[in-house]
Amino acid sequence: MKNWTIKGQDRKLSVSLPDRLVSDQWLDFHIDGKNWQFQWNQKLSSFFFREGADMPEIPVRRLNFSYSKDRDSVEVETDGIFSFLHGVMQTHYQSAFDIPGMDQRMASQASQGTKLKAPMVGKVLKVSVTEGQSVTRGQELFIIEAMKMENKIFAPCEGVISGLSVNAGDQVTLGQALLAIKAEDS
Amino acid sequence: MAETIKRVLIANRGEIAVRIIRCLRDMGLESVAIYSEADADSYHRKLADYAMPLSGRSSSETYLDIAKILQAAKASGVQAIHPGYGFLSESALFAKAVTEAGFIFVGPSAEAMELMGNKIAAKILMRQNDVPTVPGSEGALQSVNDLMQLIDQVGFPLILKAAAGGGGRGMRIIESKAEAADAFAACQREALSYFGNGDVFAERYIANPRHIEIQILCDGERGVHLFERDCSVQRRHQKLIEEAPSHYLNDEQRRHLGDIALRAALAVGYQGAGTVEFICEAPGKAYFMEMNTRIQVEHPVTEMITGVDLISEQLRIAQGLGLSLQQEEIKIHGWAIEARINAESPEQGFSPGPGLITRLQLPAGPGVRVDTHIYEGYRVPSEYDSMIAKLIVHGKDRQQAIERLIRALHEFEVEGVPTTAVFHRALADHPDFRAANFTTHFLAEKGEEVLASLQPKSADELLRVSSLLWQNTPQASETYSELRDTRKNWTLQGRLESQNHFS
Repeated sequence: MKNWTIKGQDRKLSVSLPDRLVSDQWLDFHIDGKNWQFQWNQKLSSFFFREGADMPEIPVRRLNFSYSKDRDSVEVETDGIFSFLHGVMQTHYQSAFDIPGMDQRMASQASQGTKLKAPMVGKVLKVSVTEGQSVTRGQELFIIEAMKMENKIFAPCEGVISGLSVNAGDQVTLGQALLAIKAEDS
Repeated sequence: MAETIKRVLIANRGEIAVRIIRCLRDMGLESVAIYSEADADSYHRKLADYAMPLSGRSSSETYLDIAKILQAAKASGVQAIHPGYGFLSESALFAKAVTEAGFIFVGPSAEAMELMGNKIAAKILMRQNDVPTVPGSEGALQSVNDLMQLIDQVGFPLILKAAAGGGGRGMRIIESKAEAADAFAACQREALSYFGNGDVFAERYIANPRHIEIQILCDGERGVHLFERDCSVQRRHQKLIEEAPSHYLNDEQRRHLGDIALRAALAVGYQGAGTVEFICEAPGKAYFMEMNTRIQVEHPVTEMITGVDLISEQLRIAQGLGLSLQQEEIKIHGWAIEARINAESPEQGFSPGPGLITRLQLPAGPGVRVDTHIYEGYRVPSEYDSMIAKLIVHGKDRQQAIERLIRALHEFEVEGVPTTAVFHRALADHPDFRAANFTTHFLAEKGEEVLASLQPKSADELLRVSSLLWQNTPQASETYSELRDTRKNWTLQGRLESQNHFS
């Protein structure tokens, strides 16, 4: 079992989840110490939650979900507890889901001093930083155009830019290395 | 006395469960799905706000198990139960059990269901209410004299039937008085030897019947009709294609039949949505056959031409809110046709083919509606019926609807299980169907012709080219005739013949 904290706008829940996800089976877990069960149905690509056998199941379909960098808590701006839970599940059992781009996003959001990879296929419209520049977490790094939209890519952590390998106008593919952010003191 | 419904359990599965969940969501109401062990991967489980598993795989252990369904209803805190169609939808016992357990049954009263469920009692009640039934003897004919009297009233052709009979045995069609006496005696003898009961009755024989039904909505006090559906295209009494309106009726006949249907429904104090089925021997000569006391598979064609959401009207009436519609408001807009897509193989006598759907591309575009529960990766279970989708098209007139039907069927791609989509395409393109020239015997008479036309028109040209290509491959040992045998698995996506590629 692993403990997670879900932080919502006005509440916080502690959730503990079993380590392994088995498809199509009811698994026990706890929300604030209370027993619940969940099931992952791969064919339907959905989670089902219930308070116990004979209780109604609540289906939650797979969502596109982003989670924070420290992977013990999830911050979401939604009021649905099941969407929260779903996010936790998806993070916790990420290897069980074949979500396109998940690995890249994981990599790009991993802790300090990591490589940043392109989170999508697209064209680099703007490179907002230069080699050696110090950035803070959340600072704009790139603008990538994909599906006719401009997508801003922000720094997942603070540090110094190194290995900047793309220029404005370049076409990038999913997972392509863009730069690395190294901790200031390294 | 309106009772508020907030959450509804759907005592059904498949596309109708999905259809009802969607309606509930449109209305801001919560849905509870039930699902059997065979349906754990079924779409309705996921789509509902809540789902309740029922133990067991077979229908009798699950969707027909009243005790289990009521238990699920209690555990999920619903106020109402919608039965859908099939399963328990026409079980007066179920309606009663639901009401007694304190839930609203989305449908008519158990009494109305019982009355309409008894074919003989229903027929007598209809006659009392000036609803025409097939002319014939009231009961068993006592003698040839009785038969002669009936002939004077009803005329020819007439069919003699063994009262205890069935399956076509002990039946005799008579066309003249000369053959009446002999036929009567023979029929009596056969009835006695086959069924141990010599009772024989007679009614008018309808040689070329059309199956026309009227959709009604009643709140117990008053009702409206939503015009007719023509369901004459059947295969062994199973409807394959339904359309609304019917090419067969003019406006006056349409109105007249609608009024009769309402009289039939209100005779049993009907509440909810229902369908009065008629057998028509001529546009102006329709006889009451039976009333279906539930929503029907083909209800979308009526929705398409009237713009009325029948499921939401059912829920409204079930809450005691009364009928909101006035007859004058209900108008026919254009033409709608529904094709039932079954996981069956038309080339193999429509044998069902459950299995895994490995690829799915559903049609869309102007005038196309698909009601279905299937998805790519879904396994069609072998426990339930073979209908996997309903394709409903709408056009400004019948011709446009047919063109859209053919276009949409063309786009309908399912791999992994056989489907009737290709058969429907050939059917829709049959000259008799295009001309609306059909009776319920249409497929019995023209089914082979339709099957034969399943081959694409330019198949030979296509094959000629394919076989040339084939000969350039390592498997060149395949012969033209072997290739021909497999050609039914292929179809032209474009309109090759019109482009003169092979001229």
